[in-house]
Amino acid sequence: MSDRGEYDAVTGGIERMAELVMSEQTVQTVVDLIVDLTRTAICVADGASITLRRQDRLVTVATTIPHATTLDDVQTKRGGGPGMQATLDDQTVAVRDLSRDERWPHFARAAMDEGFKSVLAIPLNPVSEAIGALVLYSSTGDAFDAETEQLATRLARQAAIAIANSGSFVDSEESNEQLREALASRDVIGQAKGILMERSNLTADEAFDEMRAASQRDNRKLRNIAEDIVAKVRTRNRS
Amino acid sequence: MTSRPLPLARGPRVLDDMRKLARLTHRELWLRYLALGGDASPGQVDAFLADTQQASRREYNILVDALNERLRDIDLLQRLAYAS
Repeated sequence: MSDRGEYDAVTGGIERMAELVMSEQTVQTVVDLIVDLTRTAICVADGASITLRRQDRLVTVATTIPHATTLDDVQTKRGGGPGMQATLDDQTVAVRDLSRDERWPHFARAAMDEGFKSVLAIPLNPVSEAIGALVLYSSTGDAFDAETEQLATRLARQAAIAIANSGSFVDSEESNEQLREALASRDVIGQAKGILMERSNLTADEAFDEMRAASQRDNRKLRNIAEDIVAKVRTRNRS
Repeated sequence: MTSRPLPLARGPRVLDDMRKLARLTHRELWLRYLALGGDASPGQVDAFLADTQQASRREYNILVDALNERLRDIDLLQRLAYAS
């Protein structure tokens, strides 16, 4: 539960954050402020973290708890957890009783080792897709009611906007690199397809089907199959 | 744990269900699909995932390739069936 004073604290905090963004303070200051505010305004929350998803793993960018990175690593490497799920589903995820939760046993054990009994994860969605989550931890079971969820959702919304506006954590260089990598792979697959079409008089789809069959037969990625085809032709051309 | 893959997944919203199982965001899936030669835009792939637009057989099957490669990468046994 939160009283009027906490509500005002949150509202004032959100306004301060907006000013920070406008005055181009670092986004780190903003996300640090949001987790502090969450922890202060929602008294049942013993800890709060902001985690972002980058290249299919969770990265802790701000937290009030000591081992948030460990909890995010468990979610990345050992079967997921509420922060990961909230990001992928773009929906709030509540774990009311960690000791009874069967969805993410590794995460539940790690969180209980930190003394937590319930967790609430709110997606951070600035525009169209969640980029991470605001995660609240409590040492009380079933700690988060509808009102705390509503407050946390407002804070998450502000965090998402601040992060997206700053661009600091939504790393454009990283996403350009991912795009370059994807296009390089596409290019190799296109070349291999062309080679097969010419060599075996196949249509584009037939050539791709042939690579797909090889990929499944050999349990290898399509890109690796394509690289082999291109490399063989290069070797032959050189000799 | 058996080494045999589970039955192939089919049915409504199956692409999106498998995306979640594969722990990929929409954009990550689209990048993997693009890398394999997929031609649909990110918005079209969103529509395929939401079942509001039907993918051609070719585009659907490349999405299946992207998802199945990812499921294999993260050691999950489930696989998505190709459209015939």
